[in-house]
Amino acid sequence: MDEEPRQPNRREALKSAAVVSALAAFTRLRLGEAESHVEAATAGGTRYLRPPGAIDEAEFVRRCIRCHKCGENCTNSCIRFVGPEGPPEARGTPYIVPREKACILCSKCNNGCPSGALRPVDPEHPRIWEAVDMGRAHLDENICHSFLGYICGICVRACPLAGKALRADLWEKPILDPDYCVGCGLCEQACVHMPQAIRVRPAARGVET
Amino acid sequence: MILRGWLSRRRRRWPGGARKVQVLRRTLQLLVLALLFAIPTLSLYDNLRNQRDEVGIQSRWDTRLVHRLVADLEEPKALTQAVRGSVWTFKAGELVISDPLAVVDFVAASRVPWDRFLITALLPVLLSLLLGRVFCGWLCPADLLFELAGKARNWAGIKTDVTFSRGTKTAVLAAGVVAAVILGNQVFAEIYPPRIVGAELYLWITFGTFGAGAWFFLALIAFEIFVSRRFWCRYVCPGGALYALLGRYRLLRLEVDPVACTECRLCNVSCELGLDPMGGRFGQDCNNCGLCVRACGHDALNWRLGLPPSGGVDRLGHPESGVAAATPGEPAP
Repeated sequence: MDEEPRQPNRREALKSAAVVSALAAFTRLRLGEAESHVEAATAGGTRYLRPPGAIDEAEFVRRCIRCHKCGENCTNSCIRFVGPEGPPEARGTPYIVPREKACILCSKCNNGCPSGALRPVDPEHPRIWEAVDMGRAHLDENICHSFLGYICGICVRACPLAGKALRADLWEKPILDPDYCVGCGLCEQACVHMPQAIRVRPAARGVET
Repeated sequence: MILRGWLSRRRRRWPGGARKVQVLRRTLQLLVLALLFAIPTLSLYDNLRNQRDEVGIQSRWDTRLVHRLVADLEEPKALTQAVRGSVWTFKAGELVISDPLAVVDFVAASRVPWDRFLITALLPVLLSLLLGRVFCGWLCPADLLFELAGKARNWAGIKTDVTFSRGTKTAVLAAGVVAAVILGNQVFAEIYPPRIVGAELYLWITFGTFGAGAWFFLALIAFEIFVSRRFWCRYVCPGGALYALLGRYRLLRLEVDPVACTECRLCNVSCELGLDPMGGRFGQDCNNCGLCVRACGHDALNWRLGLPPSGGVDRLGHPESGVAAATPGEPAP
């Protein structure tokens, strides 16, 4: 057709190959290794607390187009993005550090996701613990103030599902119910102990641990 | 007008229409770049406002400016939430438009044959089928910066120009798709300059940091200035390759009038993509930017709407091997 005439030769082919390899090196594509990016992402070594509505980690990594829209939509400004220091399979994907700023479950992020990596969640869902599974809170009773005799209970006050996911026992000792905990991390953000006595572990959906 | 006087001093017998096309093109490009600055700022303002963070809003000049502009409006959210995203995927109201390359990347990595997300690339795909690589020349924010790099190159008088095969970008596209399928991870997002420009501006405005993309992009600019002219768009861009393939049978084409053409080669010199407008060989790479139309002092180049020409006809009646190769020497300025 009306293509520009070109004489393919070895020199041109070598230069093209050099360009392709340079790009592959930049993106750190580990094609030579047996493990794929998805396997690496779900290997359990690096797991991120994903925003609410996130699908299984393996599928999430495949589907996320790294557009940053969830971060733009996050009314609480709690969504961050994996930077160049992160593993290649996760770079540019969203995550939350609840100790710095926890999720308030407004669901603006997942309702704006174009590629279905975050499934839309109704923020007014009457049984939101069935719709959201970011992770689970875990309590370290060895350092929790209430368990050491200093009556605290601030995590229970911070919990959006107080009375269900977190209940206060005698002397404000927190009792966790994993069936109701959505992993938003508001308890971890509120904990007055340093380091935090209550932490959210990211959900291991679809991850073999 | 001062601008007109300045321009006409540089080129006499300037076709007015062609200049207007360039004004329109630059306006669109600048509008896209302005949006890439505005969207993160608007979203940051909107989020700070949702958090009732007055101190946060007042502590930055950009959010302070937005606040001054929208605070008195009855429905400030109608403005601050009107648009989101970047050229990678863009949302205006309920309309979502995505880059076809993002969709290709998505399908390859997720191995999902059909998703609602695919519809969002429909508009750009249709536009490319009809008009060719117009995204590249008319909307891409990186193209604008690369063109500036080209200008810097001219000013500095750098002559080194390593050329590559134009097929490299198709190879990059193919290699990227294969890699995405094997890895189950998207690979173009990190190397696609228009997405990088949008993403880095977002990261810079929102978090005050840059990702790896900023360094990659700066390296590209430096490479284009010192080593290879318009390296990325001519030879490497996987998005450009995709748009070129889509626009192969486009309806909007440039055409040479062999009677009016004086073979001065000004058009060939002006072509940012290094094509051969004088020989009528625009190929699938042409992004209809119209710089050659503007450069032509004899009105010999114009747009034509219609079916693609059949066969590799050389409209100047020269041998198929090409006029450009047969006429050495630079044109008189």
